[in-house]
Amino acid sequence: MKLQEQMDTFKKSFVEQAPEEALKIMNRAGEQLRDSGLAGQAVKVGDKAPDFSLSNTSGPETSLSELLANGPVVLSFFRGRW
Amino acid sequence: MELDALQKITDEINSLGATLVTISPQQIKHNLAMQQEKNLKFKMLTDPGNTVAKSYCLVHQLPKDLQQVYMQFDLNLPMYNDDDSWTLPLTARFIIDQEQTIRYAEISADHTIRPEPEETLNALKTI
Repeated sequence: MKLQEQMDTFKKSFVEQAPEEALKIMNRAGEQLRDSGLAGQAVKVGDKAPDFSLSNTSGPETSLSELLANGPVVLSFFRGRW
Repeated sequence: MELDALQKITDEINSLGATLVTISPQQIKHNLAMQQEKNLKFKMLTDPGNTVAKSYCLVHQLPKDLQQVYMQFDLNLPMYNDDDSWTLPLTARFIIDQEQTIRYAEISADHTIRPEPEETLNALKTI
């Protein structure tokens, strides 16, 4: 199954179970975030990627410049395990 | 869900000479737990306080009423992230070339919308 289909299925079952008041708050916050235009302000194609050095799950810190020494980097930002 | 999908293309990313890495604000122990539960083979980095996400202009703060909803659902972000700012990154996927230039950017204000891993792979093949 496509990733987006899995996401949609999960969302549908969540919406069916979640309290109405909570859904209202979530939808409003979602609209505010869209209207804020933040996604359009983020770094974009052609920009220099900001370097970083962050803790890995094991061993020393990992930096973008180190990773790039081996080839291109696919970088995914996600929110958390919950 | 997205990480499982990314795990499926990790070998192909590696065979193209590239590296897959994730960034999230959660503490190392939570990344470690996910890695073990889902058998994830890519690097997972911890971004305390979303400092790096800020440099990519991805950070937003959850409104007060939404913070309360999260707590009702037992999503205690200050505990997961060891940070009481209630900030999160937008979900985003980038490809960065060896000149450190961003060549592909998929950013969503709606965290329930994610790009298909295949799209990212196809973009990577052109770099």
